[in-house]
Amino acid sequence: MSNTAGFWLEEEQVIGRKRDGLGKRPNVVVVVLDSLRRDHVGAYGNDWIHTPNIDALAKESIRFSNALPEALATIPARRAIHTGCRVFPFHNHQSRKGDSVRGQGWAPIPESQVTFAEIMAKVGYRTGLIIDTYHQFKPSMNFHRGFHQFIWVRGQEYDAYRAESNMDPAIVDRHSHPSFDGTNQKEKLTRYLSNIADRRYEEDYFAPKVFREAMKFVEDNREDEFFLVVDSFDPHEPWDPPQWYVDLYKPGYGKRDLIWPVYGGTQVLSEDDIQGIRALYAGEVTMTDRWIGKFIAHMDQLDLLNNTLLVVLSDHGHILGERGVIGKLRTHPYPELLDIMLTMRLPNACHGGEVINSFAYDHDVMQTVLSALGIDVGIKNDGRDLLAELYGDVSGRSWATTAFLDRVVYQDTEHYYFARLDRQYEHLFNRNNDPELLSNLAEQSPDLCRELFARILSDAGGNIPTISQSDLRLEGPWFDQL
Amino acid sequence: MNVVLVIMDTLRRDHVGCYGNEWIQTPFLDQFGTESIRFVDAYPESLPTIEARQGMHTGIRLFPFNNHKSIKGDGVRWGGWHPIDDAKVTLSEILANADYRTGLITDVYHQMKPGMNFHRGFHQFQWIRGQEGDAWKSSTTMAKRDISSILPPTMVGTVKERALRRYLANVDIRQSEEDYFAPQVFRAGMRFLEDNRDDDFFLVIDSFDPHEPWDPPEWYSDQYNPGYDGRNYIWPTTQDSSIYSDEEIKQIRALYAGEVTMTDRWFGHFMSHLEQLGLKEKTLVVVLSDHGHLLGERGAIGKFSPYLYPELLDIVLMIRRPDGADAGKVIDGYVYDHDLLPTILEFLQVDAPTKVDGVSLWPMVSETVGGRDYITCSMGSHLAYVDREYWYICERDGSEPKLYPMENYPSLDVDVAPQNPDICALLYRRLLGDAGGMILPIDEESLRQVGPWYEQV
Repeated sequence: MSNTAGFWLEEEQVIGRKRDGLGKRPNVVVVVLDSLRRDHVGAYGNDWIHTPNIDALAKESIRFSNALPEALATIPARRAIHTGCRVFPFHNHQSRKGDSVRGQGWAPIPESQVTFAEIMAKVGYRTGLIIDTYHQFKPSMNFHRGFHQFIWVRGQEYDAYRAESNMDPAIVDRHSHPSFDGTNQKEKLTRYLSNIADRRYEEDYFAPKVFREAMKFVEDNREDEFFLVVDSFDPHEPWDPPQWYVDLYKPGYGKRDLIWPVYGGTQVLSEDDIQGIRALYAGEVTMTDRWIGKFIAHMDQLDLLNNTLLVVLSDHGHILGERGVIGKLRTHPYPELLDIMLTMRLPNACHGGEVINSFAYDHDVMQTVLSALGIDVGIKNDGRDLLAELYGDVSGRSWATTAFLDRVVYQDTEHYYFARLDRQYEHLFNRNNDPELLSNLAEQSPDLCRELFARILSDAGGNIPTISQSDLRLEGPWFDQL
Repeated sequence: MNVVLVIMDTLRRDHVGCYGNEWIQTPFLDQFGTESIRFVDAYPESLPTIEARQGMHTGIRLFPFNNHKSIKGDGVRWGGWHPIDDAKVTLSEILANADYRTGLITDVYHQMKPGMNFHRGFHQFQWIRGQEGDAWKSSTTMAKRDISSILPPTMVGTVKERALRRYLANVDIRQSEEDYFAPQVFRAGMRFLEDNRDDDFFLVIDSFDPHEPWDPPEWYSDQYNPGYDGRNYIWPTTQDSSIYSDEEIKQIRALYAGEVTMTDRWFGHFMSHLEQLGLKEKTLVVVLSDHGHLLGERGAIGKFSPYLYPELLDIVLMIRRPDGADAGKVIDGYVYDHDLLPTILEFLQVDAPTKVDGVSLWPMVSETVGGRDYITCSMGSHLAYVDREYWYICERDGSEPKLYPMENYPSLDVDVAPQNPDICALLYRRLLGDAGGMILPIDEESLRQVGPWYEQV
């Protein structure tokens, strides 16, 4: 790649450790915000949620308007981000003991792959990982490979952190919904409420804790060239930001209400419940925005921001009542769930405010950063340099495929298609005539469906392995951590 | 009924009062010993840290590490140093399925590394961060500190120096004794008891202390070497202890002894809390160590695979029954760390869902059976065999044998291997027998990794 952007160094300065007198290579910070819907960010057009800090950052960043995960949810997306390799179509899937979440691609990073952090450590960066995304703390998980420092902020969702024995059932009931009866939702809620029982101030909430740790990391390592991944579970549910954030959107809600959205059909919810759930989510987004803002301000205060490549992306969205459902449901792989934000702030805010409209994946981030820094250690991955098209010599992707468990989505500027991996449950929409994706044209367009599925197959390398339910389970007996 | 399993890393059997030590203060372990069944011939089936824990958590022998494969993200490479195989079932999984509330509290940071899974089956796990080279705080903050008074000259510029700087960064924030590691671990244990006292629970407290670095508050180490004002080598690993003066070695031992006494003290606080909460008569408490440590004997300080001598292999194992039955009983048959799983399960009358290699120790306690005739164990490139007549050490293929008559235990200073090739061959066959007939060479490739990737320190 040519040095058009003007911030990277000559190649021999970049490869290997920095040499005295040649200046420092840019730092790299990747911020992952879990469950942040693209359309709930001001910079992406939302006109009612307060995200002033991300909006300001986006003005100084290159903004990708059509960014997508290559596979959902939490763990598959992290694999893509950390390795630059596609997880779809889930070759050699193997669930691991000690994790009750079972699904295609929900597994540690394969030993055969090399991670972003390993590469950055290899070429002399100081690497750090700060996360509260507790799925990565579970047995056999290894997303901290390659990091010189890792900080785990404990207690999110149903992290196996605190004892539930002292939790007052009345408090659990206060946040329960009748549909939780007979499920383990109350157990989960009890666990979560136990995990957070001793928090008191805003700074004790999760996004604040994560970004406070990030601020400490940059203080400690400001004299080094560093690679920092800040992986914030917020704004993932449970949605229970401090009341002053909720009050921005639905004053008074939340104290006794549904901090854990009721997954599934919204028919069991009142309109007030749905408005409440949305307000809680919005409040959590604003709180997260506020703390990423503090982190960026701290980077600036330490005079690091303009020598840093700062990437912010989300891993997936969340359906909040659209299409009659709430949650991340494999049956509803619509844009509310798939669309993610992705911004890259280059050193000195080069190209700030430019927008790239071609499809960009989460697994492109690694290659884009490596290319920008001129790092090539000879490790192959599936990602593309997303900045290449800024310089006019390459065109971006014209379509994208995203997998979620046994469903797969194809999209281009005209078509939106999804189906089960065996091509059952096909849905096809024309985005030009039907931007809301309301009328399914699959039945009247079998040829087109076949053609689009062929593109999915080609992205999968020609065939999609069959993964049975028994592959997803494990040979017992073993124990599921909630 | 509850079970508490306390693991103390690197606690030498001969450095505990109730096992005969006369100069180290371990009053709480000694008291516990009088209330317990005390095993005086306990051994790990393999070591060091991770290997030993595999046996404890699964009841299945890890020895002889055939077909070993290291995993990425861990700079430690030994045969058997890897996560628990998913095909095995852990004690905590069994007890969680039997409706025990399970908890793991540990500062043994190797278990927090990428891919490790020793927290399988625990409803709660608590990791105390910062021990030794744990990738926690930024070592860059210690890059310029003068550490010459604690850094052995042979480690200057080595990975050990970086690790020591990391450690200093990790402990930089601590202020009072309760912030030290063993105190943090046992305090978390006490909180677990408070939270779960109404449940039937299985709690594992896995304390890295008294593992090095040995830097207890000075009121612990001063009692063993008062008036010392020389260098404090808190992490003195070497195969040539002549790099240290006699005074320095005396101080190294004092630092270790101080760390032992601090660990003992906080174990005592924990036991006292168990009693205060009314749980002592409802709880089976097991205390064991994973291995020992050479402290200048045989010219070495540390754990090295050719040194599978009593200083390294002899471990502590005591079991206190809730009702105090069999208190003070001494069991002198050979037993292993991986016998704990069937022992605990039999006590709780819970069936093991799969076959294990360990055997319940209760028949030995009731004297209906004796112990094993001999034990075998391995660390890295070496094997050890111990029975009443001989202590035998050799390489994995049986080469470089050393054979010591047990009448010289524990010094084992007379090697009679050259005169007894037949006995050496017989003992190696027994090792092979315990290994299922085959002890493959540890492939150096398998200890490395695909690619030149990065090791955490």
